[in-house]
Amino acid sequence: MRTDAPATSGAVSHRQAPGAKGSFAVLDIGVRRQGRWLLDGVSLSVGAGEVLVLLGANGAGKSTLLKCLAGDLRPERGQVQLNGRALHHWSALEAARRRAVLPQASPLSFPFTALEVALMGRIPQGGPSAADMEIALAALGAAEAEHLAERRYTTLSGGERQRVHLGRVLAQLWEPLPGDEPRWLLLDEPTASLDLAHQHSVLALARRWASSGRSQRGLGVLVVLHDLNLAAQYADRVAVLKQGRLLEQGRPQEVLRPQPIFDAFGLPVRVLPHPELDCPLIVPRAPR
Amino acid sequence: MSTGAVAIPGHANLLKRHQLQQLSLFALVALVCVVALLSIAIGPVNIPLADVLRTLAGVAGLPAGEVAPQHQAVILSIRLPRTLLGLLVGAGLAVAGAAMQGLFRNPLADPSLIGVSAGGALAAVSVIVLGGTGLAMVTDALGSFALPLAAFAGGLVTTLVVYRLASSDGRTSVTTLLLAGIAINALCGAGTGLLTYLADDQQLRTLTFWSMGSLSGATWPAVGSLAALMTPPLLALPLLARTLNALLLGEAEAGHLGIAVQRMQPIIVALAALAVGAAVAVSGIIGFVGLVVPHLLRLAQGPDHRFLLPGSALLGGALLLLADLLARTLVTPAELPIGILTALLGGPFFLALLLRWRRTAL
Repeated sequence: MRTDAPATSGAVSHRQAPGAKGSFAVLDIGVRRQGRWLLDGVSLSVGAGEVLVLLGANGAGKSTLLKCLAGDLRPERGQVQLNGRALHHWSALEAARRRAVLPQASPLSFPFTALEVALMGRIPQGGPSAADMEIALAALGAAEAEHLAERRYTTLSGGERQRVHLGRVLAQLWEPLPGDEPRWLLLDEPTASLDLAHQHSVLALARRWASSGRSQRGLGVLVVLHDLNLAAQYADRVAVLKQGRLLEQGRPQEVLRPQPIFDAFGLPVRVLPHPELDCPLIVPRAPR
Repeated sequence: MSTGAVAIPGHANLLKRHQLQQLSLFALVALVCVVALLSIAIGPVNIPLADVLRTLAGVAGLPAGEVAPQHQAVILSIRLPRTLLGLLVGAGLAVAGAAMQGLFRNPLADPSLIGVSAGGALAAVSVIVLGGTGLAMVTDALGSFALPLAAFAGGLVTTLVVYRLASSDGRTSVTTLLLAGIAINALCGAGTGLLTYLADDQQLRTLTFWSMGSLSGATWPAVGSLAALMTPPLLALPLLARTLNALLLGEAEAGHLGIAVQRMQPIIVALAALAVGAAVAVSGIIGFVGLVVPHLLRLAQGPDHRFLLPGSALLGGALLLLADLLARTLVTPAELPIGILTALLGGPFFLALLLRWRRTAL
């Protein structure tokens, strides 16, 4: 059943007004490819210190939205704002010191060591000095990839590669900015090639960096996920996209209900209270 | 998670690798010196090393001893320009190869394989054959730079075409890259063949070496114009090492690291095409140098461009001089075209690389 979804969820209070100084936001953006709107009138804002999980079926526009925030795509309509200023007004270097992007996969096919890959995260800060090397190692440690430091990237498994790149983006955002300006981490399906334990440890890491973080205000983290239960457990807020429009956004308890999930994914589910944690547990229902 | 993790082996190993890389750069400088001295000393007339050193000291304005006049003449008018030419061509081809492999994110991108050399050669041949006719005014005005500039333009156009064909969405397809190279090599070869057909006898003699590659055109004016054109790429490309490192992660990823990708890519393409064009203009198509040299260095010291680019310049110069030494001494008094020699050595190397690459399916 298809319902005409409201473009924004009225039930949810925004933690911050979109476009405020301490936020990373898209304002009413539209992206069109070959006459089809991949994103249509989406407004969404990540706040400093929060983990926002982006959900949606395949082709709903999650990756496109992430590309807009990463600066890979400039939307035809609307604006992307980083710390209160239009993203395209920041130079590539200025933007790189404020936000890092973990890609789904990298085409890297040269035999760098994992440590050298993590060191590339220090390029925006002026390049590999001895201090950068220590930061890169510590960042690999934070991503649970320290033992891989000396291994050739090309010999690593998909999940190991993903953790090395996580180390790279953590190294990129390692130190607080002057004036405690917020920093942003965009994670595009970071759990896709990870085993169950590492899926949880990556999201717990995102959680830690966001809430306490390495500065008082912490990082704002936007994560694209497919697993609703991971989203329920780790997100401060979730946003659900459907066919290029924002279907719902709000706290996991508010959004992750059977009806919105059915609307977005076409999957009938039951939502139970999690037996141990203070979050919903989503269970698919038996097919009739 | 503390930043005070000094005693971790990975850290020490990377520092050690950096020291090793620096040491090997010094070793490569020494290798270049030795090979250059050999290249000046050995030939149809073998010249004692003492005479070579004395003559070089004299050139450098140092107090030099007595040298047999015909030895001095051979060194100054034949061997020295040829040696310098070989060093510059080898260095330029290897650095351009390494830069293109970084740009295409592919270790198989050699200027001769993907058609850049052929494009440069076609443009240069056009200047030779058509230069006397409609283009006369232009070529006269440019003088000895006409040929290298034409080759540069030809190389630039083919690089751009190949790049556009092989890249989409920040990803480069190896298959498309190599297939596009085949097509462009065939097209440029046909164009060169057609022009050869139109050429007169004297032009034909000049043209022969384009198809096979040779350093026998070494004169001081040629060395001068080559040095002028080769200086920008040889100096600037090593400075772009960090950009090339970041580009290996992918175009979008490099952008996220603060690299102005849209601005840097054309600069790298232009510098690499300038090096290849200048090399092709003086020595024709000499294949595989840009493939073999960076590959050997990566095997030894890893893919970091901060080491790879200067290392390629040095090893490329040394290897090409060695190849030239073989080319002119194996069948004395005749001379083998050096392009044939590098193809004989580089072809099997490339095939081995291709097999390995397919097995590991990177």
